[in-house]
Amino acid sequence: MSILINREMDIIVQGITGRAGEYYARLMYEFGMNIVAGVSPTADGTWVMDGKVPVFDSVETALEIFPTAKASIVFVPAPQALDALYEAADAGSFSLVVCVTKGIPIHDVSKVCRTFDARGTRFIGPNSPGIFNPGSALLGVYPADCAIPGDVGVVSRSGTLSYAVLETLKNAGIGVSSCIGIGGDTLQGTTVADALSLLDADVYTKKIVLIGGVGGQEEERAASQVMFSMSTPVVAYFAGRQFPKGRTFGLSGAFIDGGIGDVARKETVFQQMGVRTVRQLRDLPRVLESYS
Amino acid sequence: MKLLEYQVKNLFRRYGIPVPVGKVASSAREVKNIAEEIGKPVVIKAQIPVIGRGEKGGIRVARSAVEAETISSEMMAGRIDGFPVHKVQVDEALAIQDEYFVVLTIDRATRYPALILYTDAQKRIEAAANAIDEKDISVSIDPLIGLQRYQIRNLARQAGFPPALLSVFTNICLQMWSLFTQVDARYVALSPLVITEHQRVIALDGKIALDRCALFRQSFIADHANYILVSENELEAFKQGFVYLDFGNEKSIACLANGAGLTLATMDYVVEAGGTVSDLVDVGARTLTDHSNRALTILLRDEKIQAVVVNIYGCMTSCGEIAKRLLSAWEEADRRVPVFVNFDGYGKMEANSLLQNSGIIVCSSLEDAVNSAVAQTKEMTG
Repeated sequence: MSILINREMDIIVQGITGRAGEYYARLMYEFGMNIVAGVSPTADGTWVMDGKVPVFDSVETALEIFPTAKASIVFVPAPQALDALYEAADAGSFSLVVCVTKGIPIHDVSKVCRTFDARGTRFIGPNSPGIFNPGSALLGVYPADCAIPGDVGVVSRSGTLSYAVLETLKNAGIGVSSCIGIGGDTLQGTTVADALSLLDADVYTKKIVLIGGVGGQEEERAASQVMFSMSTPVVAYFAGRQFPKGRTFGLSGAFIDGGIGDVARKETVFQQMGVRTVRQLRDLPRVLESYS
Repeated sequence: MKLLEYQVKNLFRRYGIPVPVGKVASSAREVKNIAEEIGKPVVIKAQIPVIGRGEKGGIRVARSAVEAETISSEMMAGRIDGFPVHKVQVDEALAIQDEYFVVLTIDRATRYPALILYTDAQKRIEAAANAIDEKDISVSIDPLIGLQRYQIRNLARQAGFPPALLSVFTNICLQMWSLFTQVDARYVALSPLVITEHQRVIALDGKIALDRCALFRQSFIADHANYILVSENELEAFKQGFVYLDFGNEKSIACLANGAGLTLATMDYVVEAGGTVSDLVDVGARTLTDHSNRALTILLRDEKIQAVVVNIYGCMTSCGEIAKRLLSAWEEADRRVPVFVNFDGYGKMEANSLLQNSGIIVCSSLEDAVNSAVAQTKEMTG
């Protein structure tokens, strides 16, 4: 048991007929999640995953049959993602929407954030690996065997790097309560600060690891919150310390422009606030153990 | 993706945002003709993607057409911050009474667009556009409603913008909004917007950064890829659909990983172990087509690379599939440098056994891969 999701939750997968959608829907299903239906505008009336999950042409028709669905996970490709996310917001019955799609135009993300904010729906992503509560629930693309249950909460801006971190913790015998991947794009529906608050309020989480990275000031904005309004200790790691100024890493939010986004600066802000940081991931287990 | 000044000014003209009388030129002779046409002192501005080019000799004033020709031929013969000057913008010189910096961007904190106005000429547009300073005057814009006139009035009033020119300013801001949303800009800036002695309101310069994610609906972005992506390698990767960054360092190590965070962490590791990184490749963690073979092909033929560190966390594309692709690129390569591979996650065992005795070196940990690569480059440079 831990934050945002549980095994009883009914889930709809938008974009279930795409390669990533079907692949990860199957992994979640095998993990034991209730994938009740999929949505794909061009595959209405079909079944996926060996005939176990029906596909509908819209969220609305899926909800007519499965009105109990409370979460949606979106794999719809970037050009159609705005439509799919508006559809999820408009359905009105989801308390949680996770967007795995990466490379959605920034103007679209801004509009989607506005829409979900207005409806009070928790929106995680885009470019998010989702949420993973090891041993209990998975709404996302985490490899289920990369972590063991425990009391460390993880907030991450990146996907595969967070799997590597979870595995490092597992190998050191450290278990994880919840891992939230907020996404590595320029904008996030759920910010670093939001995700930290969620974990701080969780009774199963005793310590928190923040995996940040070069670009923006999301971590800096969260630093004072960590110091002044959270009771759970936090240790932070930032990827991209050596990334040169003036370059952008692909479509991600990883860039330093006008001196904003530098890792050295993030580390300084955290240290000034008295929050621990590690330069090497291999030091994480040792620091976490020193907290208990 | 930042546009050059002349590209920005072309867009400004198209959207009715006033700019100085002027043109872009590719030769000193052209500059002379333009200066004669303008018939008064001109400003010659190098068209290069450099922040603060004015302090580096990239902006100079010429009193006459002949002087303009001399200055521009000097400017175009040299380099500024390593960039050759192929084009210069030639603008009328203006007598400036007041200047304001106006930035329309998306605020990463609120996630909504914001219109910002400030007067501190020392402050970089890029800094303002990427993090809103509490000292700046700004209004937050609902992305579903768009910029409204009352918000512009409020901004102008707080900034002490002359009320007599308010209607001109309002129209400029509304046009900026149209441009910002229609071309999918990350930010649009007037840098600065000036009021001349004759009370003309003009965008003396401007900056636009485009959103590469919007490529699918903004085909003109692709036209700019040639200059945005500095090296041939980057251009080739861009066309094939994976992320490639070339920093141009000699005698270096390349990092190939899946996922941006993992790639960056791998780079940090190499540099902190004493290595030099010149090339970063992210083949992506959830891509439809895995490009690891194409990526390795590009890396192996690059003469400046002396070793490659591959760090893969297998997920939808398993380590085994990636190992097969790496192997095919390895076998076809004409030039080979040591490739040190660390696999984790799905398919690790299969991948490791596939690459056994292949020539690609399988390492037991990332640490092992990085240290071996660094030792390799040290040995080669003697």
